[in-house]
Amino acid sequence: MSSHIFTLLYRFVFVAILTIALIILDHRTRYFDWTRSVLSNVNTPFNGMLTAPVRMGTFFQDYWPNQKLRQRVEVLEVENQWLLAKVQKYDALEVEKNRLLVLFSASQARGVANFKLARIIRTDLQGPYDQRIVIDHGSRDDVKLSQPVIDVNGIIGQISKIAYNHSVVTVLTDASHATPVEVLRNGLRAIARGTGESRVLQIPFLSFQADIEEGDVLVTSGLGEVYPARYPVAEISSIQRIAGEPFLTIEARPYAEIDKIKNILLLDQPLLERRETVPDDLEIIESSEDKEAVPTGEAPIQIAPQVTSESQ
Amino acid sequence: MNASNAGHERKPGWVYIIITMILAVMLTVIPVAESVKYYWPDWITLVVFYWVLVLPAHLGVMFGWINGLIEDIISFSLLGQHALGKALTGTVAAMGANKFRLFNFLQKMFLVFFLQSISIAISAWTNHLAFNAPVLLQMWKPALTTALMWPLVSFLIDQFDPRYNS
Repeated sequence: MSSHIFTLLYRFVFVAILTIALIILDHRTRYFDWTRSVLSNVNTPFNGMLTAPVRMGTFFQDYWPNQKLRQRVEVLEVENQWLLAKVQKYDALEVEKNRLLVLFSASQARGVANFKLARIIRTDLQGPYDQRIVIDHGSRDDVKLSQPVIDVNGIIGQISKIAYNHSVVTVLTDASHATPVEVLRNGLRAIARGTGESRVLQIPFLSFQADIEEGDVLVTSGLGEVYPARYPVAEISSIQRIAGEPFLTIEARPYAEIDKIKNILLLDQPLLERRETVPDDLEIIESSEDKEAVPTGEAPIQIAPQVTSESQ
Repeated sequence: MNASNAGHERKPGWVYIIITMILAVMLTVIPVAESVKYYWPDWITLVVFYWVLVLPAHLGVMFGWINGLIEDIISFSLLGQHALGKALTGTVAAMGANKFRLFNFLQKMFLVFFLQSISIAISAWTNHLAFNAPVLLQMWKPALTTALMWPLVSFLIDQFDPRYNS
C-alpha cells in the first residue's frame, strides 16, 4: 500500500518539476507561442456556445422585419443625410486642424485611421480579477500583436495573444500594462500603470511640483510605438500628497468601461503610415511661414500648450 | 451519494468521464453576472476530485494535470499555472482515496476547501511573480463555494452515471 503512495508521490514531484519548468519557459520565452495558438482553438466550440444566444437573437430579429424596423430605417436615412452634410464641414476642419498641428510642431497628428469592428466574447478569463478580454477576431482577420484596441470612449488596450479566430486583449488596467500618456492641458508626460482593478489606473513618478490637477484629461502621448497619439485614456480622479513619499500618489479613472461595452474597434494603422501623413501638410505650411495668419480665436487651443511643457 | 464508499471499485466509463469534463469546462467559461463572478466555484476541481476518489487505481496525478492544462488553455493563463494545483489535488485524492471514501460529506467538503485553497494560492502567486498581479484575500472566496458545491456535484454525477445505476 505504501509503495503505491510513494509511486504517486514520485510521479507528482516529477510532474511538479515539469510544470514549473513549463511555467517559466512559457513566461520567459516564446517557444510555446505557436503551440498555444494551435491549442487555443480548443476554445472555438466554447466560444461558439457562448455567443450562440446573441447570434440566435440577431438571426430572428433579421428574419422578421417589422413595422418598427421600417420606421427606424426611415429615421436613419434622414439622419444619415444630415450627418453626410455635416461631415463635409468637418473635412474642411480636419485639413485646417492638420495644418495647425504642424504649425505647432506636434510630432504626430491624429490622422484618419481604419477601424475594424470586433465583438467581445469573454471578459473574465481567470475570474473577476483578470483584466483581459477575448474578442472574435484572430489571425484569420489579420489581427497583429500589439495592435491597439479602442472603443468610442477611448483606448482599451492592446492585442497580446492571437489564435486563428479569436485573440486576447490586455486591457489598460491589467497589472502588467503601462500606457505612455500626457496631460491634455499642458503636455506633461507620464505613465499610466494598471492596477488589476477595472476602474483604477496609477500615475507613478510625478514629483510634488508637477502641474497636474484633479479632472485633468490624460491622452496617449504616442511614445512607446504602440498607441497612436492623442487618444483619450483616463481622467485624474484623485491626487494625494503623502509626506515622506518621493512622488505624488495619483489615481485616474479610465474612460473605457470594459464591463459595459459589447463591441470594440481594432485600430488598423501602421505607425509608419501615420508619420508619413505629416510631411504632406508640411510643404503647404512651409510655403507660408506666417504665424500671424493663424486665427487664434477659433483654433483648437488645447494642442498649443505642447510647447510650454518643455519649460518644465 | 454513496457511490464513493462502495466496497468494490467501479470500472472506468471513459465516455462519461469525458462528458463530465466537458460540462465542467463549459460551466467554467460560461458568462455569469458580476455579483456571482466573485463566488463562481471551480467545477474542474470538483470533477477531478470526484473521479480520482472513485477510480484511484486509474486516475490520479496525470488526470489532474491534464484537466489543469485544459483550464490553462481555455483561460489563456501561463501553461502550467492551474495544472500544478490540479495535479496536487489529483495526487492527494489518489493517495488517500481509501480513507477519503469513508469520510462523510462534511469532511469531504472540508478536504475540497483545503485542496482548492492551495490551488488558488499556487495560481495567484504564479500570477504575482510573473505579471505583478495583486494577491487579494477575496480570491479565496471560490474555495468556499467550491466546497459547498461538492454534495450537489457528486450527487448529480452519481445520478446520471449509466454504469452506477445498472
